[in-house]
Amino acid sequence: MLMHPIQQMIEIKVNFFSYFKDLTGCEATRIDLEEGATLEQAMEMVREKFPKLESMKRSTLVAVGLEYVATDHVLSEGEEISLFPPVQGG
Amino acid sequence: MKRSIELTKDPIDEGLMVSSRTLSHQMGAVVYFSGIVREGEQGRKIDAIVYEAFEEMAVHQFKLIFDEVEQKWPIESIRLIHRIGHVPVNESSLWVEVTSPHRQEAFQACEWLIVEMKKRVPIWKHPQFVGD
Repeated sequence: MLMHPIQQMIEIKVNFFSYFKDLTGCEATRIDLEEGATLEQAMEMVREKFPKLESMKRSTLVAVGLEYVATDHVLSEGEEISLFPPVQGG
Repeated sequence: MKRSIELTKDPIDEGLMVSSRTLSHQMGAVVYFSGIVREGEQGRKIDAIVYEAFEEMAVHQFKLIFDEVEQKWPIESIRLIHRIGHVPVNESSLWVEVTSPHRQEAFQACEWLIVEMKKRVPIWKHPQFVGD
């Protein structure tokens, strides 16, 4: 009998700011991803869960922890993603 | 380089900031900028802006910008205050001061810092429209 390795899953918290909270109806959510998943895969999952974010795809800023990172960043258990519209300080 | 960053719900006391300034004897320029809430946003009249921040990341991103300022110009100190929460029209939402030996680098650093802030520091405006 062939044995398939059990795919480990990680849980990632996703935070929303500014009017993304209105588009999603929440301040944060949690998603389950396969270990080794990238930020881009996480964002696709978030957009599937909250389709109203799709229209903001091109202007969405995304951070992992406190840093802006490339979308090929491989996520680790315990990391938090934040999604938000263009910033407007000043 | 000396640096201070403050996100606050309280009004910015510009007089206190000026009177508390300390300078070494090599400094020849102090530039400070105060950003004021205007009564118009998106072609409509407002009475205030509510500023929202991802505070921990905002402070971190300001620190990264300050690091870059330090690499680019011979700046002795930067002090920055950004309001969060409700800021009425005519009040300062941002106060930033740069000190340096000569005026050119102080002006350039202050302007550059604000431009970079508007690209990367996670703070957002929620205009409070009159009549809404």
